[in-house]
Amino acid sequence: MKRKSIKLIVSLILMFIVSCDDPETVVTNYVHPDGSVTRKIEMRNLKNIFKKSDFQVPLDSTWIVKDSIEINRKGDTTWIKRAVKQFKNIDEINLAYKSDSGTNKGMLRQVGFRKRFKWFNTEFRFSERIDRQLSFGYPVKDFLNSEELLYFYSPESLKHEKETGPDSLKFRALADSVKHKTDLWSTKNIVSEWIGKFSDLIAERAGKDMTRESLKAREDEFIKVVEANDKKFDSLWSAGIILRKFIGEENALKYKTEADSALGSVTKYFFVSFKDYSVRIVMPGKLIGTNGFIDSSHVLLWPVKSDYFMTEPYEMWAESKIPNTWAWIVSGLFLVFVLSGVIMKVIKKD
Amino acid sequence: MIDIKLIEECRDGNFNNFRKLVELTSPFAYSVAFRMLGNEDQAKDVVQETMVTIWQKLKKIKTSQVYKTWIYRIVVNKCYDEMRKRKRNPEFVADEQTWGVISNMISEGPSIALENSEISKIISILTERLSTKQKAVFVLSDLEGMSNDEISEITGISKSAVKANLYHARKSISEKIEKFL
Amino acid sequence: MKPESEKYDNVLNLLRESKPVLDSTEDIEKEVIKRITKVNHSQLNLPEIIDFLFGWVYIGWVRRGLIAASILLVLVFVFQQGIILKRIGMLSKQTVINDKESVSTPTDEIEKLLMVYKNSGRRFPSKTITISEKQMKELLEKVDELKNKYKELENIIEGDPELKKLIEKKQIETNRTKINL
Repeated sequence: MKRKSIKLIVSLILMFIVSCDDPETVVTNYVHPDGSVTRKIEMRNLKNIFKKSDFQVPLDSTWIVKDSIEINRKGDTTWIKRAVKQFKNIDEINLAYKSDSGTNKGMLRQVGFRKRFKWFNTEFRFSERIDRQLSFGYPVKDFLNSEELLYFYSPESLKHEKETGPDSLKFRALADSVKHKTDLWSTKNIVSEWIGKFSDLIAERAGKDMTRESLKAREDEFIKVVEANDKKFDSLWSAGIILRKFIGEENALKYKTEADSALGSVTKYFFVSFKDYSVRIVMPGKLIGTNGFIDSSHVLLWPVKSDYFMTEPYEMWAESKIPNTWAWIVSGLFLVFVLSGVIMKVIKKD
Repeated sequence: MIDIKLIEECRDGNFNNFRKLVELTSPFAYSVAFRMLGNEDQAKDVVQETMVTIWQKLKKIKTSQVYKTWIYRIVVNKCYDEMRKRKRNPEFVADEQTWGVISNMISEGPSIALENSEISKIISILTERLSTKQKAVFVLSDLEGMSNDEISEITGISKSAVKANLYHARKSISEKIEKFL
Repeated sequence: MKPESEKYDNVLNLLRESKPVLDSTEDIEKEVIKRITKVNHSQLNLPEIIDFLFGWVYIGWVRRGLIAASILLVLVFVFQQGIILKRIGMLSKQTVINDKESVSTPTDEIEKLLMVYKNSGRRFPSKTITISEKQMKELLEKVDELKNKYKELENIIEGDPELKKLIEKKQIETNRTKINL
């Protein structure tokens, strides 16, 4: 069985994995009032390499694709692939996600649309949700404060802007703090996930000292063992030393297979070839709520990174409203009508 | 003269009852209109107009008791309108022969009933120099037998004005009678 | 000869006794009914329309219900708009990112951009412009073609001193005009 050191895993998942051949992808959803969605995908690459297996979002022959290049003032060339497709409804998008064969096919992604008639306005909600990957992880908000959370979810451009802006020192410190805390969060997630999976596997024959609750209670102890032996993790694990330190010699021998299997399924997740991309949403009417980042032209942006949906579902949502002009007119006339009637009655009474 | 109950029923928009009301109201409306205008067709038109107005505004009168005065007011106003229109038409001018006929009629005594055309002639000759108001006051007072109060209410002019107009009307008519009969 | 007042009384008695006769009220009846039915069908007068429209004010429960509905409508409006405004206010406090990550202009819009460029005093917007590979090749070909023509023109001018002199003179004149402007 293939084993990797915890440190390596953490480093890998925290690394901003964009190799030279990977296109930088932005998916824009133009949501229409009838629930149809025009999806535009823009992939940018410094080389003219666009492999279907590298696509972060589903893209097939039913899309209208245009290729072009962009040369900036410095003379750098960027190769661009643009694709557009009109989806009649969100079900078509969800179907495309289900049959995705791209690099992010392992993620469970789902799009939602809701339209609510509220007399004066019609409200729309569009969301894209990615299900969590770990079953026993911790929410990131348990580790980061609100300022750190905002930084954690920020697009790279914004992070860069802040780290090089007037408050660069403050933001660099913030970035370091976030990195340190997310390292710890990732390690805890891995250990917690391993405990969860391991206890599931041994549930039927586990003794009192090997229940999930008792193992969970000793989680920090296990983390210390892992961190203390970080450099030789692979060899120590293979020799069963780490496991023995954690669950004792007898249990280590008894549950060796299950322990290896649990570690295997944890590392399997971390080596899923997820590639980051960005999602944009353009809502119909006036925007009234979102958890995304807003640009100056009111287009919403969310970076999509594997960290975001590691332990919690990641939902990108936006809400907007279109005023129902006819309802405003009808209501106005109704009020005038009732008011006139009441005034008339008062006058006649006098 | 007019059943109050009938008026109340007409106020509810009943056509059949209104027919009865037209039947009962038309003769005295016609009498005033004809005496004021001296023309059968014009008087009939005024009666028609009056009845249409009554139908349209019947709901507005607060009590049925004022009905008669109200109708007279409508008729008189319609006659004013008609007379205003007629001003341009040539007036009826009496010759000696006409005065002779009238003289004969009077000498025969009040027992004979004049025909419409004869009434028209006589009234036209006698009132040709009267103003519209004087004519109305004369017709309502001396021919229809109404009190000054009623006339004041119908025509909308003050009681003293009614008296003054009546005085002038009578004087003018008397002078004519003295001169030609 | 009879005294004056007697003559006057006689004439008036004759006229009073001779009431104008309305030969038939039926015609008037028919005409009036015809007219009022026509009026009823063709035009409703304003008071009737108002009475019809606002008849509900006299029915207690309808009046109360409509007033309650109006108040509810106003409250719903205030509540909804309040929430929306609050949410929009919160949005404005949310982080706004710059346009760096905006999706750049698609290739087929290059002509529009060129038009904007022409109309905006030939100033390119600060952002980058995307053109297709084919368009890029065409552009490069045109630039080469232009360069060749420029070289040919240079050779022609160099070979003809008079022409060179003339062009230099023209250039000086053009510069002067620019300065004057």
